[in-house]
Amino acid sequence: MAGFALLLAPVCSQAQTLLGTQTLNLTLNAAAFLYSVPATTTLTTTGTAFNATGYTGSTTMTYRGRTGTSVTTAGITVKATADFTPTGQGLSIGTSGGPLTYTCSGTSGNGFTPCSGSLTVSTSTSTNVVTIAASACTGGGSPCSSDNPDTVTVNFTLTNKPSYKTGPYSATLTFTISAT
Amino acid sequence: VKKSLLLTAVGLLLTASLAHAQSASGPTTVQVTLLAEASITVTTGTTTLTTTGTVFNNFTGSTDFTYKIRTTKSGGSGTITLLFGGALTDAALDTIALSNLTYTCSDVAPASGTNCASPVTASSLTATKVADFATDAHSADSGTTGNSVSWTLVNNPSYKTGTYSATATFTISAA
Repeated sequence: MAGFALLLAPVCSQAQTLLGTQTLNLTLNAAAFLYSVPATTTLTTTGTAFNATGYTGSTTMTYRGRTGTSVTTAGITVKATADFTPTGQGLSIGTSGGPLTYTCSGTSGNGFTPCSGSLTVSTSTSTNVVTIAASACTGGGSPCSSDNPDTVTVNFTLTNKPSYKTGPYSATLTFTISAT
Repeated sequence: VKKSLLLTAVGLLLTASLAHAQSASGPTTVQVTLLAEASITVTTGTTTLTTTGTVFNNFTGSTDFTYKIRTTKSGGSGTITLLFGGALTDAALDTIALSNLTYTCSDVAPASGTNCASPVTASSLTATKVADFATDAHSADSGTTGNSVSWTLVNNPSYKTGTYSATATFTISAA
């Protein structure tokens, strides 16, 4: 057995051949991915009847993004796919000035900006949740964000009006992330 | 071996190209259950009863209130009631019994004041009706105004002179 091993070693050594250098080209383009969007967001109310706070609830989602140097529009938006169901009960997303509004909080800085102020959910227009600036990237700290993944919490408020009929209501909202 | 390395490089270039201008979306269903609820604001903080005209005329006054209400759309109801903390009392602890104090109601729809269209005697033992609400009742979103309770206190010579007061609590409920 020992003699057999010695014979093989020189043969393997002779098989090594230099093939030259190989250059691998990789272009990283803009990319974005949104995940961990909760399937359900429940709004509840506490305290006195018809208080100014209304029905509230929040949903937190995570995302990763990388944008190019000349990005014009990148980020996360939200839009209601349809009105609250059942319809015809006084509660309608399409009502002027509400009734479903939201604020945003979460990863901020190094190109990531949660929405500012109170915005109104619409069935016709996508509204801002997060703005991702040019040359932004997720994770690792400056010049990228310090979070990995990035997060955003959307805090919903539903105006509580006496004119709404009692009962359960639901509406589907779609969050969309894009990067260019 | 050389062919294998070349394929790997081509593969990396394709992956990067597919990632360009990427977008993704995620749905969430917003759910809310709106329940029956109600609130009331008594806009006359202190109601002063006064008398005019000839002596021993009754003392009168009125208390205004605003309400918000939403009752269950099927089989729902609501009420506004009134309950006194005790008899009318002055600083010397002289009292005037609530049996001498009555009220009538002037309610704005959807409130119904039929239970107090005729004088109702105030009570500290039993809550008395000020308004009723039917099923699927809805006030104005900003609150329904213009409601009032009109008080009448019999002016008996037997009362000792003095300034008397009593606390009345309005309660609104919805189901």
